[in-house]
This record gives sequence, C-alpha cells and structure tokens, in this order.
Amino acid sequence: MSINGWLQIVFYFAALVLLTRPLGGFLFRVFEGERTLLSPVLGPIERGFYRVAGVDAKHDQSWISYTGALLAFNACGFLLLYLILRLQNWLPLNPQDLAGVSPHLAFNTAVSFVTNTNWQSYGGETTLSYFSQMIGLTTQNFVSAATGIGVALALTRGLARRKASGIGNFWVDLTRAVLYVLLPLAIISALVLVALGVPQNFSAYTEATTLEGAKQIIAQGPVASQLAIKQLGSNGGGFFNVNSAHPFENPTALSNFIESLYLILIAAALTNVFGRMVKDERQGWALFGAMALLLAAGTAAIYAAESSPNPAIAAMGVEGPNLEGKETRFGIAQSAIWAASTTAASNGSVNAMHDSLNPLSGLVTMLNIQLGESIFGGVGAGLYGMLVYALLTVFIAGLMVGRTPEYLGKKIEAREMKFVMLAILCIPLVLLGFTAYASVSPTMLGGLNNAGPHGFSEILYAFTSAAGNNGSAFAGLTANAPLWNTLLGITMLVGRFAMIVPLLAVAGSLAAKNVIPPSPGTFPTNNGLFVGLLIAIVLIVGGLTFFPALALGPIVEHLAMLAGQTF
Amino acid sequence: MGHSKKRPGACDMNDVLFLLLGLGGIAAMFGYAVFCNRN
Repeated sequence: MSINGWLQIVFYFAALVLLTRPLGGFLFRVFEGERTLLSPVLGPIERGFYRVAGVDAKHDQSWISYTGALLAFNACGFLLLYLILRLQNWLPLNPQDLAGVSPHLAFNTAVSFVTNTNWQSYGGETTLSYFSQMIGLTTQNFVSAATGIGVALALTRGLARRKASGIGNFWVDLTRAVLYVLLPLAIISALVLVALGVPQNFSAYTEATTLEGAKQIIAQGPVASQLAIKQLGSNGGGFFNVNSAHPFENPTALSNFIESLYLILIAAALTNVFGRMVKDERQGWALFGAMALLLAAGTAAIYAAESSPNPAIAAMGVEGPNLEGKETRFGIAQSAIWAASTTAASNGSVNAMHDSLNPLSGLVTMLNIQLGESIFGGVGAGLYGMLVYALLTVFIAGLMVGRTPEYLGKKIEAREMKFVMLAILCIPLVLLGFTAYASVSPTMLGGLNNAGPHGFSEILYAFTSAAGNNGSAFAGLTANAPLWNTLLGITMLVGRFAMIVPLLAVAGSLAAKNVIPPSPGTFPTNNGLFVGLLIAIVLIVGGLTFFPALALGPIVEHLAMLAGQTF
Repeated sequence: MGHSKKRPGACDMNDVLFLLLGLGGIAAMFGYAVFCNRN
C-alpha cells in the first residue's frame, strides 16, 4: 500500500460525490418531463416516438400494466437478439465471416444482455460480427439499462405519491432514459474515448508480423461506441474477450479513471433523483452514504489484500504486491477501485482478472454482488435494490420499538413485506441452488479448471454473477457448454425479473396509500443512525445468507494459503 | 470459441427449446405478477 494508491482511491470517491448532485438534478428534470438543455433538439423526437407508437405520455399505468409493458418489451428484445446471433452469418457487417452462434450460446447471450447482466460465455472478437455487437448487443445495453431506471423510478413514485393508482408510464420512462440520458452521455463518452485512443471502425482485423516473425491478428472494430455504454449502463460486456484490460478498450490511465467513474456515475446520481422525487434530498444522501461506505470498505479491503503477495509466490523470492492477472499499466489501486466498483455496481467489466485476486479480495467481489447489487448496483437496479433493504430496515426498526413501520410517511405492512421478502429470497434461491447442483454434477464439473476451494469459488462466482446480473467472471471455468449456458441463463432471468415483479407490486401498493404526517414515534430515515442501521441490515442479511458458501470457498482458500497450500 | 461450425444457421429443435425457455420464462414472470396482484 502507498500514499499514492490511497490518494487515487480518495480522488475517485471525491469525484463521485461531486458529480452526484449535478447529474441527479439533470436526471430529475428529464424524468419529471421538465425542460432541459436538450429539450429543443430531443423534445420533437420524443413526441414523434410517442405519436408513431400510439403512446399517451400523460397516461399513468397501474403497476400491473407497467409490469406487462416491461416484460413484453424485454421478451421482444430477447427474441430479436436471439435471432440476430443465430443468423449473423447471413447479416451484414461480418468482415471476418463468422458463423452463426450455437443455440445454447445464443440463449445465454440474449438473456444475458436483455437482463443487463452481460455475462459473456463467448469471446467477443472471435465469435460475434460487428452487426451482432452493434445492433444486437449495444441496443440491449441501452434499453436494459433504461428498463432498470424505469423500475427504480416506478418504486420511487410509489413512495412519493399519495393515493395514486398509477406508478408512471413504462414507455415514457424508457424513451426518456435512452434519449435524454444514455444516448447523449454515451455519444460524448465515446468521442472522449476515441480521443484517448480507443478504435471505432468497421475494418477487417489487421494481420501483423511481429519482430520475432510470428503472425498476429489485431482485432478492432466499433469499440468506443460499445465501450461507452457498457460502462455507463452498468452492462459490462466488453468488445474484446479480456474486456477493459485490453489496451484498445482502456488505452491510458485517464481512460481507466473515466471508465471506472462511469461504472458508478448514473447509479449514484439516481440516489439524488430519489431524494428530489420524495422532496427531501437528504433521503437520497442517506442511501448514497450507505452505498458509498460499503463501497469504500470493499475497495479498501481489496487494496489491502492485493498489496500483500501470495505467500507461495513470496516464498520464491518474488517481492511486491499481487500483480498476477493485473494490468501493470494501472497497478494495484486502480485494479482495486475497478474490482470493487464493477462488482458493487452490477457492471461486470474488468481491468484485472478476478480469478487471480487473493482469496479475501475474491470474497469481497462476490459479497458485493451477493448483497443484492444494492451498493450503487446496476443503473436503476442499485436504487431499487437498496430501497428493498431500506424497507426491511424500517420494518425491523419498527418491530424493535413496537410501532407500525413507515418509510417516507407510507405505512409498511404485511403485503409490502411479503413482496420485499420474495424479492430478497429469489437471488439466493437460484444462486445457491444451482451452485450446489453444479458442485456435484459431473457434467458441470467438467468445465472446471481448478480443484478444491478455488474451484468451488469459480462455480459460486459464476452463479453469483448471473443471479446478481453482474456479468463478471472468475474465469478458470469453461462455461460455454450447453448445461452451463442454460442454467446460467435461467439464473439471470430469475435474478432480474423475479426481483423486478414483486418490487413493482410494492410500488403499486405504496402508491395507493396516503402519507401519514411525521410523529414523535417516526423513525427518521435521513440521518446517520438510519445509514448505520441500513448498512447493518444489508450485511446481516447478506452475511447470514451467503456466509456458509463463502466459508467453503474463499475463506477456506485464504486459510489454506496461509498454511502454504494453493489451488 | 463457442460458435457453431454449421455454416447456414440452420434452425433445429434446440432453437425451439431455447426460444420457449426464454420467452416462456419471461411470460411466466407475467403470470407471477398476476399472482402478486391477486394476493
């Protein structure tokens, strides 16, 4: 560890805090339909979309209509992406003449991108045409992120509205999120990345002869456009197989800083949108505070763990931190920031290989995802993930003091808690269930490259990543096989939609309620006590659910490593 | 890595199964929503 490294981490968090409120203000105005700088240009386009699609922008949907529209839209997205991947050899922009993707891989990839997971069982540059990457995947990068934003807005409206029958309009939320937020930010970001050296072209791959005389294929293509949205939209699916460790995806220290900031930026700003929508920005800062403290703890833990070498490597006389699997251009601190942020933020892009992290760092990355992707989380998904814990916190606090739990003046009753518990339980159900099956299935174990607790960690990480819609991989696992692709695909579907559906039900239920004026018995939810309690609930629920599995993986591996045994 | 060696992406039974799994899975979530609405 060094002062320089800690300063990099402090600078990262300072930038995040400084950008949260201004961007939150802009997003709030967009989603409230207020006039912004972009309105003169994008307003007519937005209204044109509604006219063509027959959408009444002023019509509020009930929660069930909102859910129906969301699911129908995502089902169409799945179908379209599946067909593009299967038929890419007949479609344009395929200069490498790549074949159609196999059915199980097309299923896995289509589900992966529709659910904002971006788990990649494929190698980007060796499997997918430019058409598949740009029209298939990048489109989903935008709309899956917008879907998450929509759900977060709907749940916030449920809390903010009084005796309302509607929670917003999915088509309006989707259109505004893509048109005013994601597209402009992605275009600006792509141009910045091009200026920093990221390629953006349609050329066939270059064949070069190295100084040793060997032939090398240099992959390229429309990288910058996919890269910008994969970071901003908490998608994570890289153009290249090694993601942001590839010099074309991450050419400089500045690009690394910008990209790692993009990981969290919109998710952080949405906490401010939440505060503004409930007319108390401190409510948003309370959620931000809980998220930021958990992220800072995770980052510090990874930085500390990676600053120590693996004892087995140190015994060979190698000095310095754990540099295996890291881009030496960026070093330990930048890798720690990225590893913590990408797993907290449900992004999944990587600039260092997580399989090479020391066991305790691997534990932090897994735990970040297992805590329901609520530490900033996916775009939108992080906000609704943390709101789930906030509702649980006020419910438990209410039980402790013997009063009816309430959040922002809304009574939290049995109906809401049932839905909250359904949302919380869906992730461990598929995650731990399929991990257990994969740990004993000879077919699935065939894809494993490491034995012992590290092998178990690879399985656990894969299903954790899929259930949390993260998409990063521990590697060391050959997951591009029919059974792996199918089970991971099902896990991603459940992890996404089995959480969204009950939360939209909570939104509908809360919207219909009146607001109770604060009383001396009201538990304040905008102060340090609430932040502390919220963090405790997040850790206790996550710890109780996943500690046994983590004990079998990274904790055992850490203890074995200290005893001189590696896997 | 991972791509089919069959040149024309010929449709087979696996396509039907995986499309059913994906679309059926999302449709089942709507059934889940209707269930939540009634309870």
